[in-house]
Amino acid sequence: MKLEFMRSIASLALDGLKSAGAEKAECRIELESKDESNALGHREYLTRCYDNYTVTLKCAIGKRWACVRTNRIDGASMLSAANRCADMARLADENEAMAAIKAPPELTRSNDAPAQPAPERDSNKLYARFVEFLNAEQREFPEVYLDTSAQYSQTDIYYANTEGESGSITRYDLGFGVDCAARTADKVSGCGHVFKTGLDDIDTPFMDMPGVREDLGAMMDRLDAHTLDPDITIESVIFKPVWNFIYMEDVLRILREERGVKPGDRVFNKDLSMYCEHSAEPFTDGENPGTKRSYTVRDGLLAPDTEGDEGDPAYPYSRLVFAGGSGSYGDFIKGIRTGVLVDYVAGAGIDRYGNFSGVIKNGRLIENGEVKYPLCSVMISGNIADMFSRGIQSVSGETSGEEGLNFPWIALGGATVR
Amino acid sequence: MLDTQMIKFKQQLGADSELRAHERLYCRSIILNGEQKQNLYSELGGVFARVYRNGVYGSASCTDMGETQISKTLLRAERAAKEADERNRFGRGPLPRAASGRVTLAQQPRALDPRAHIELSRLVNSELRKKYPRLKSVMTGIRSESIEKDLVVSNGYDAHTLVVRAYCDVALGIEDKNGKLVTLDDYYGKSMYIEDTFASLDWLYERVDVLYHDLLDYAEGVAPLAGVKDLILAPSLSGMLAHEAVGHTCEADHVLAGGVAGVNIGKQVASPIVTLTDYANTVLGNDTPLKILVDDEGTLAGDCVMIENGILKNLLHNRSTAQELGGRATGCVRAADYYDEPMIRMSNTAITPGTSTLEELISSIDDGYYLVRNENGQADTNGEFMIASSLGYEIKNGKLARPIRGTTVSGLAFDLLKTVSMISNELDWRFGGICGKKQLIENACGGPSIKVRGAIAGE
Repeated sequence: MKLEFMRSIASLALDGLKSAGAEKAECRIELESKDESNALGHREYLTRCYDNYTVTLKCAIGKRWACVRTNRIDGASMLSAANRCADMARLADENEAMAAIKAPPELTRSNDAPAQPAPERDSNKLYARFVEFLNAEQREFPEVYLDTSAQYSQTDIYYANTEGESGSITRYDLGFGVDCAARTADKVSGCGHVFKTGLDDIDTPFMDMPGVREDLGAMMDRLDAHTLDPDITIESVIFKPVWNFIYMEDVLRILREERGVKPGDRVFNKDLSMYCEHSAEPFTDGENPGTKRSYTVRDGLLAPDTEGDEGDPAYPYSRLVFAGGSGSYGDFIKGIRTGVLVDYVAGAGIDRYGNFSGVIKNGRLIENGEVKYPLCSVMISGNIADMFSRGIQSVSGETSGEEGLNFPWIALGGATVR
Repeated sequence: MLDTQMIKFKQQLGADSELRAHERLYCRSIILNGEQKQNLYSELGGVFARVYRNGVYGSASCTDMGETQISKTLLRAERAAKEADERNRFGRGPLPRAASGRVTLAQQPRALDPRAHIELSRLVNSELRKKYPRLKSVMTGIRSESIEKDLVVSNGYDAHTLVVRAYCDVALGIEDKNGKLVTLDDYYGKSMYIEDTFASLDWLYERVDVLYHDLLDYAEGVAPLAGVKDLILAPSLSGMLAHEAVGHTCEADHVLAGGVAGVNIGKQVASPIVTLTDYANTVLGNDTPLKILVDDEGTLAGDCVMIENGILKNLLHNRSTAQELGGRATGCVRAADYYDEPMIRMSNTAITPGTSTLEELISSIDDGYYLVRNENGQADTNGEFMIASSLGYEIKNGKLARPIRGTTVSGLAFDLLKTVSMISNELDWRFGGICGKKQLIENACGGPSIKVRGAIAGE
């Protein structure tokens, strides 16, 4: 029923866009349904539930796109949105500068991951688990305060374009996330983050999930963080894996746009690969739509650019894989002589050329293959493109991540840490 | 524009209940060197209901604004609150009675016209490329938004409000002495619709001219020397310090989550010359950039003095945290989108201006830096912060010297505030920024220039 409704809305929108003069158009409809509970300190304070539609229309006239988002899903509103979208694209195309643009824009389509099995949706059970976690947390870590939530979400997506492609998919997310800080009468530690998503079930107590108790315990250790001994020279920087993904986007942009690296040129000093594994485009109705792999970097060499034309909507990557490392996290750490594990860098961001500086948050010293004490007030600076293109020292086979972005730990040289 | 009037549902509200219709219209056009790069219009709205029971909230939202669906959403929120109460049994009782009344729309909502955004962004781009031929890159973006809320509550003020703002984002690029493209950006806007904000462009071009000349200095900039220095933080940086490093730590939800301010109430956390306030509607007799009349819990908005003469006095509270921690809700609770719960948010945050002139601040420093332009800033609940500055100047023997570029100031906010030794008599706001605490929401911060002693990054 839901799918039928989404299909009819998309059909109406695409017909409206074509009637308004759109040469190419696409429509993506999302229905997000969520049950969520939030807690502060050690107690639950708010639950919320919702079912929200969002419709994204995108159309091209001549060489330019326009994009309209709306959640007014009645027929008249959809036609009005379609007309507005076409008017905006037409106006954007009526511009002298467009003469310099050679190719018409491409459809964005979608690179959503294939459907996963649906977890059990039982909000009462989920909330009971969550309260049980909060009580356990207060008992075991009374000095660690939380800002946390647990959620079940289901997103039904329908996509269709004027080239006759269409498809639907449902994504599920069952998980919980914790921001936490330890506090005593006279000390507060920096804040930390624990995030567990993609849970298969809600039968396992959250506190017993891998890493949760350890991460909460680590907050207590941070109350006694040290500054870095000036006699120690840091040879390796190891970012939390999700940052390797975030930084990689900057690295590739800098290499392509500022350093003129072309497809086939070497990007990394090791034979590593990075690829996106997504469903057949746009994704198809029915079961097991099949996957395809798009390489960004293959065996250390830059692959041809597969990015689409600029403009909204830009659908997120999913199932992004960084391959080529080996060994467990433990083995990886054993190979580090002096290093810093970096939760994140609070800093100025990365400039156009890759330079960055900032403060290492929730850092930990590694010496002779062992993770030692937590660090505070440590600055880092360097060039992120140099670090990734020339400075990869080792890569773990084990990965960590969230929302389909599973990256390994990477030991990087070339940063100044003091 | 909202079609359904929420007042119709007032009789359906139980105790400590809120019902909010909420619509955000947003339009943006970006031109880079004459070429259209973004062309976006968005209209997203719906209804949010929240019910409080004995220390815990239940809430629900929906896209459909039909009357049946609105009533169903309210029932879902009531059921969620009842179940949460039964799960937890905090037994806090109802929220204290709040002042009640009704605030109506001060101006009628209007549609946003994408054509005006496209044409204006194109015009400004073209004018700037003509006026400054040395520029290698010009990006101009025109964005505007209107946020209409119609709130009915069972305890407090009902309010139909509209927040409107329109902005021009500008990024200019030139080649530096090494032939590298360097860019500086800024944004300029007002709390008005696009037609009114940009009825005249003279004020915009005047401000972009300052950006251009700053860019020329930036291109010649040198790296600063790292270390602990005497620094002057211009209003954009002092405002960011006030918002990121102090204001967020003083939000009661962050305090419940372990924030540092909780153990410092009543203590000296800053120099005695520092008073820091989140303003609601007026500041020193003038309108604030972001006027909030009633917040999304139905509390009339008022100022919250967080630090007074160096002493940490107050936290920013919602009604629930005020009840729990013992404080006063000052109407600082807002939701970004229709499906969001109202959260404690700052509106217009600034250090109160002092009595010195900027020239007096500069002449008091033998060897230090004047940091003029900010980039991003971050802080944690511990008040450990970092603020990036794109452009500054050396100060040598009381005079400005070479420009510097690309540095950061970092430290613990309360430690840095204790070093404030002079405050300028100006008050300059940055408005158009977005605060990213879970929900992206509009805010303003600013203030005077302040003289501090702090650590900066450099060579």
